[in-house]
Amino acid sequence: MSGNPESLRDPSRLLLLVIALGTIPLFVVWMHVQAGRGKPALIPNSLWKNATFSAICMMVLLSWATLQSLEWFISLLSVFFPTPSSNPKVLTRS
Amino acid sequence: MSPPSILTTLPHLHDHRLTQGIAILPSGAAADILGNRTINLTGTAFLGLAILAAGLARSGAALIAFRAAQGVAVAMCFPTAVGILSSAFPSGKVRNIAFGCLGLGTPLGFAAGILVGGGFETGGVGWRAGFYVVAGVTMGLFGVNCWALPREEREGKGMWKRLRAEVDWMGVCLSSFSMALLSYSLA
Repeated sequence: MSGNPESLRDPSRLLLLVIALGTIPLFVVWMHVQAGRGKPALIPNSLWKNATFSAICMMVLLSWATLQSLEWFISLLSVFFPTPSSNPKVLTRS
Repeated sequence: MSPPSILTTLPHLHDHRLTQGIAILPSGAAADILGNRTINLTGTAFLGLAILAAGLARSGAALIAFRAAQGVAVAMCFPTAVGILSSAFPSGKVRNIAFGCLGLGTPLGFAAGILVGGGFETGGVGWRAGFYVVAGVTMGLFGVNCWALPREEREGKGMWKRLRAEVDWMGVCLSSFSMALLSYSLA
């Protein structure tokens, strides 16, 4: 979808996205169910009440998100702003 | 099958991150049961074999698949390394230095890999040499791990039963399904 946002109007792609987003609350509910039954839970919901843990998780998430996306974007800058020296003739070598 | 080319493999550059994120939760749960040393050795051996296989890949799809397998192997190595370090050092300055060294590995390897990989490419050796060199280093480090990692006592019987009962497999399935589907539908 990130290459072509209008492709989201296609019902099969939209359904896939909806199912993907729907399994996230399902996961939270399952952790609640497992903790209630006393069975092992992968990420128990009580863990998020620890403020230190939640803060560090959020920091790691945001920092890695910016790092990875910027790395990708910067490596493609020579495609967005081509100059004679950045001519991508190297892309055609296999 | 077509040989690996940059145009076919470029969209799948970060597949190993996805598989690493998916595999990290069950491998951590398994390491609680089977022991940190076991899972770390398994992960290191698997990593060496996956890198070697990626170097030998004859098609773009095989290269992507073995890169994804590397992600699973790294997910087995990294949390167990953190666990082994925290049990080997008491809380304090030395442990902080040890964790710092652990975190040093990723960017140092990334920078060294870019430099040496570029050297291989312009020197005419080709990209496969980079994979072979790293596979050799990884298998050497696997030997070092076998020797250096401390053994831990654990009861040997009933491991498969405990693995089946004490790991939340439905949670593993739900989380991996949602992560994979989300990254597939958004990309």
